[in-house]
Amino acid sequence: MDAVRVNLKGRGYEIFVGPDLLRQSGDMIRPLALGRRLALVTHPVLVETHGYAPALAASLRDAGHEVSVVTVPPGEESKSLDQAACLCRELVRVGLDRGSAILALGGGVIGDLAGFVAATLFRGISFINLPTTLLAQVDSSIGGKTGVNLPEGKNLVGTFYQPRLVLADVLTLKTLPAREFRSGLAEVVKHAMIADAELFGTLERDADRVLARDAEVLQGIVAKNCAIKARIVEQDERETGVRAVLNFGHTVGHAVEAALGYGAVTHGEAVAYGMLVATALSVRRGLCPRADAARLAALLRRFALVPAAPPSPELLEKYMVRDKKTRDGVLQFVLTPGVGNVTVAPVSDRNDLWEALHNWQAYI
Amino acid sequence: MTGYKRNIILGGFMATGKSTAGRRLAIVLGYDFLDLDTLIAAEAGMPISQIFSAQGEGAFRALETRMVERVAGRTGCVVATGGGTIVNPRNMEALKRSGVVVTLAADPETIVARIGPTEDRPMLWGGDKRERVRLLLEQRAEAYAKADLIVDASAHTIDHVVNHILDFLTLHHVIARRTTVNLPSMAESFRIALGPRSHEVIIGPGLLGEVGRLVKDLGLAYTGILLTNPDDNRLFGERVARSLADAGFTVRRVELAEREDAKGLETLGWLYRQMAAQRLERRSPVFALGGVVTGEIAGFAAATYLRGLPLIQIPTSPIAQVDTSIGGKVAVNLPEGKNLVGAFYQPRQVITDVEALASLPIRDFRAGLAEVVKIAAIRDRELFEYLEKNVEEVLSQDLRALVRFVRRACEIKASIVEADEWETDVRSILNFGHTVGHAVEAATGYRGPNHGEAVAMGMVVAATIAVRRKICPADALDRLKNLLQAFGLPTSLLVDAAEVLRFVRYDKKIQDRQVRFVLLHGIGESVVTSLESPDELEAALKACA
Repeated sequence: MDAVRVNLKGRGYEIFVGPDLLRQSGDMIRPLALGRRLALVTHPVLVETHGYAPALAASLRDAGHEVSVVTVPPGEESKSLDQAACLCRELVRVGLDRGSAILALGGGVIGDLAGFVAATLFRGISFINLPTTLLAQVDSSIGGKTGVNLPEGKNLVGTFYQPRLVLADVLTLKTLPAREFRSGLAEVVKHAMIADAELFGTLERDADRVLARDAEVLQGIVAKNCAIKARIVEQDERETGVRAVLNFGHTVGHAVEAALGYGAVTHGEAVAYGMLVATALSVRRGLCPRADAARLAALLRRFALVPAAPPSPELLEKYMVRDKKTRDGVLQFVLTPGVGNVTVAPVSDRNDLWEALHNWQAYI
Repeated sequence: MTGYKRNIILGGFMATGKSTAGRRLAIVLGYDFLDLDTLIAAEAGMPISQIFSAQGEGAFRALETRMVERVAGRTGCVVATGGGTIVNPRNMEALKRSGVVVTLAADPETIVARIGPTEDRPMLWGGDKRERVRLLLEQRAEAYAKADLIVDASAHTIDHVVNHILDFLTLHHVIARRTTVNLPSMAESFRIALGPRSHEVIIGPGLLGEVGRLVKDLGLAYTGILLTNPDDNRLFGERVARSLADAGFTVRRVELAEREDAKGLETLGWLYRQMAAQRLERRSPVFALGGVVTGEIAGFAAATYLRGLPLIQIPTSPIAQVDTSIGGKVAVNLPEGKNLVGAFYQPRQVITDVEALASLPIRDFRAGLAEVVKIAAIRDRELFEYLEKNVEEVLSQDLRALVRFVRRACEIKASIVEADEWETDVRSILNFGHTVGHAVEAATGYRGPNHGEAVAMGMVVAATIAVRRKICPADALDRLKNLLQAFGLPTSLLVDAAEVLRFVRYDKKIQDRQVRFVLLHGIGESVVTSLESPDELEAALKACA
């Protein structure tokens, strides 16, 4: 088991990464001295098909807790205000109070939704995240971003709210559908791109073992990713500056998802496309060597992450204007000077962006 | 000139601006402000309209004359009288002996336009409003003309009226030198120290027109949203919006209902859509102009939209000004209970214009006083004594008195919040009177006593428990009751004790099934404790029935 500490003043917490953590969770939460009553928020499939939720609940009950299991339908549609409201109401009805805790067992949707509920129910109660997808383990479970979508856009409503503990059980990755697993790899590649050339090399070298979901390799990669993200979040908890580098590939990525409708492409495919456009823009500005761009494209292709039919540049541009990351109306873009490095720059010249969206392949 | 300060008495017809002008005059001169009708209502323990309907005009006039004699015995006061007060020669004589009488005059059209609903204006009962005004004006014209000065208030702003009176007083050596009205310069401010969430609280008269200037250095984006409610929008919306526009802000004004039952998730969802439509970005300010409900729902929307937008609280109701605008508690309701979904989210600035209070029904104002009494009782003996000694100024909404007690209440609350921002221990002393208070509100379906009245009852119950435990002297309970009574607040439980008890169990301050209670040790001292048994509460509830 690996441990990564996230150092935030007064709200620091531990991320544990390893095999079979769900069954040990009762013991692992003991130091947190949580209240007796816990709510476990998860998807039906993790209860019925994989049995993760019952195993987790049993371990918690063995540790003396009362556990209510509440399920939420899978899919991005569950990350809505309505669903958050239903969840809040149900948790009040099953008897949660200010001393209770919420545990999220699932992927990013569950984590973001249950995290938002934990952040706001009774003005905030203890939250524990048990991510079961690669995307959630390496990305969304770290950093305290919670949120739900509005019809006008993704994650428009949310909070920064840190969990008390994160338990990433790498064995749960085995049952993940292949496409979803690969989707998570896009964030792994992103972390390597922005902060760790060595990890990038490891991914290139061990691509086969990664794709075969070798538990030992995955534990190392997940822990490494958690540490990368934790170091960035520590410097900028509320995303006022340096944390923006984590948005590498996301400005275009979010637009791809919005334009095609959530679910048509995976988040990873969208981000992969976004990284390619951002890198093309970097090459075009003379910031990034072509060779680095080529390495990125090759790795993404190896992980089958390049979308076959991306939306038109016209459509993408329309969605990008609504992005949260505008500053006085000017789009902020994360660019890369090469593998292991990024920089944030305003993109005020629409031609620049236009060219990168149309002809990204020409620069890679 | 001697040091003797003659009173300034404002007479004249209803809706000519006597109270507003009087308050400003008082603060400029450094005099106390007294509002005759408010004092009469407090003395009688009921609104003027009720005195009329229960006892008739004769009884009211007798009370009025007694009150005139009382205020004429004071010095250094600006007194706003009722519309009929100086019509009685005896009143006029007494008032002239004590100082200078000024009549504010206005034409019938202006008056009719300014008068809202007539339920609280018994002199207009029976007959067409327009006709009644014309008739009364005619009857009173001769009496009004006997004043030392007559000022036309129809066509002029309040500041113009005040300046005109000041000129006259200077000319006739009633005051030593001419002072000009500059209300915002009388504002006071203090800082709440919460690390990166520290912010300023600015309290004073005339600040609504200064909002744009006051927020200019906060590093806000120039596109924002102003969340308010129909009443506050009508009274103050334009003034705030203009000051923001003058400072370069483009702000969309959105109205919400200032009602607890509208503080739900449905309104919140609608609000988010409005924010999305305005294309707000991360530094876009959210201005919350209104009472408790507006502040809480706008605050929660600001806390959660784009994971937190800069929030400027502009509280206009007494409870919002002295209590809820400080400390960052924001929330919305679920069908299962009040304030179940929320956050601790600190504003970037609080701008409190105490003049806004003067536009309120007196019952709402008194409800705010309950929270002031609460904060004084738990933490500040000095404030409690100030309130005891200045009941008339406080009830009359003298601007200096308002600035003083609003600021003090805010500062005490701020010091408690600084010690415990997330309400893990000491902050819960702010719940003094609230455990029972919330239960009283819930037991009456939020249609009975208002929040302040319910809290007043709750404080009496909590103090009674303390006295019965012998941890608090009986004298403290008496002083608490006397002060509440002087402010026209209830001091006994007007709701069935068994019902209240039932609702206490639903309160979210129940931790591990134990009811936490804030008890007094004496005036200005309090402690958080657990109930010894449910019987203890029941016995106290019955003792207060």
